[in-house]
Amino acid sequence: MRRFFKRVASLFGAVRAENELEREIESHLGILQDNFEKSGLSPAKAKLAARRSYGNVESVKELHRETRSYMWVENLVRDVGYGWRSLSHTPGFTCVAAIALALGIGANTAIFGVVNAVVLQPLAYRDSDRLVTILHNGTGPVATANYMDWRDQSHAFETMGAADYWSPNISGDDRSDSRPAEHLFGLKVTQNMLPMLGVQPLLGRLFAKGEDREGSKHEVVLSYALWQRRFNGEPSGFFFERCIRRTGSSMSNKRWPVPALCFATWAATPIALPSAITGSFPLTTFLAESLPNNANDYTRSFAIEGVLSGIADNSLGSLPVLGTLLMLEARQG
Amino acid sequence: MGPQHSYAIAARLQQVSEDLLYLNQGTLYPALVRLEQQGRIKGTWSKTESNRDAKFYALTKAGEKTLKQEALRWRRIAGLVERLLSEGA
Repeated sequence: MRRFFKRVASLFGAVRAENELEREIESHLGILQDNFEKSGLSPAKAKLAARRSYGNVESVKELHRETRSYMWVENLVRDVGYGWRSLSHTPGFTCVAAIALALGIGANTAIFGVVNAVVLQPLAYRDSDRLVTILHNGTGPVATANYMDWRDQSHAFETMGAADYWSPNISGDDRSDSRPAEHLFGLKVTQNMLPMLGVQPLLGRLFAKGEDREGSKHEVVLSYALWQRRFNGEPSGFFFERCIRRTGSSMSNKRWPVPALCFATWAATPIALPSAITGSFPLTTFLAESLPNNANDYTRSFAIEGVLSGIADNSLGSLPVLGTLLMLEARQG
Repeated sequence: MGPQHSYAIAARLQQVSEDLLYLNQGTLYPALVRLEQQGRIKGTWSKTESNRDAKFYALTKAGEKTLKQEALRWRRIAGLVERLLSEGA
C-alpha cells in the first residue's frame, strides 16, 4: 500500500527522481572508473572500461523507472499529449474524423437501441415467450368475424385478444384549462387484453367484463408516462374526480404511490368511435398511450399492440392460420 | 557493515558469494528502489573514500525487522527442505 502511494507520487516528482537516478548512475560509473584506475588504467581508458562493465545505461534507467513508478500512466499521458498535438496540427482531418466517428457511433447506438427494445429484450408482459401476433395470411389485419370465430372455436390459444389503432385527441375539461390539446397514440382493446398481458393497475382498475360491449361507458386506462406528463401524476382535477366517483371508495384524494397505469372514466370528453367498429363488435374500451417526443414510448406501445395471444401448450396444429396477426382492420371514421 | 552505495552492495554480494551471485545494474537498481519505496532501506547522499558522490543505503528500523523475519522464514524453509531431502535419501 505504502509502495503504491510512493509509485503514484513518483508520477509527479518524475523530474527529481530522474535527476537522482542520473546522479546515482554517474556515481556508480565514477566508482567503477576509480577502481579501474587503481588497477593501472589511464583515466580515459578507465572511463571506457567502466562504461563497458556497467552495461547499457538506458536500459538500466528504463528498469529503474518501471519499478519506481507506473510507467504506463506516464506513457499514456505522453501518448495522449502527442495525439492531441498531431490532431491539432490537422484540424480539417480531425473534424472529418470526429464527425465520421460521431455519426458512426450515433447510428450504431440508435440501431442497437431499436434492436434491443424490439428483438433482444423479452416483452415486458406475462408469458412473453408464449405470446404471438396473428396476421391474416401472415401479412394483413384480421377481420372482426374471423377474430370472433377463432376466439370461440380455436383450442390453440389460452386467450385471444384484439386491438386496433386509436389516435384520440385530449383537451382540457373547461375554459380555465390552459393546457394545449394533444394528439395521442392509443389502442382500442378487448376487455381481456390487459389481464392477458399481466398488466396490473397501480391506481384504479382495469376494464371489467362486459365493458367492451356496445353501449357501455367509455373508459380508458392511462399509461404511466401519460399520467405523469399530462396529469402531473396526481389523482386530482376533472379527470380524477370522475375516476374517484367511478371507482367509489377505493380511491381518496391523497397522493398515490408511483403507478404504472391509471384507470379513469373519460365520459366528459366523448370520443367518437369508428362506426364500423362500434356497430356490432365489442371494442369500446381504450388503452390510451401517449405519443410524446420519445421514441422509446412509441416502441413500447407498439409492442403492446402486436402482442395478442397466449398459446396453450403445443396444440398449435389445430389453427392453420397461425403465425398471423389478429388485428382488427383499422377503419377510421 | 553500515550504509553502502549500490556498487559496494553488488561487489560485496559477489565477494561473499564467491562470484556465484552477480547482480547486474538492471537487477540492483530496481531492487533498491523497491526496498526504499517499501520503507525498508533509506538512501542518503554522501562522499566515498575517493571523494565521489554516492547514495549510501542503510537499513531502517522496519527494514531490520523485516530482515529478521525473512531470515527466520528462509532458515525454516531451507531447514525443512534439507530435512525432507535427507529423509528421502
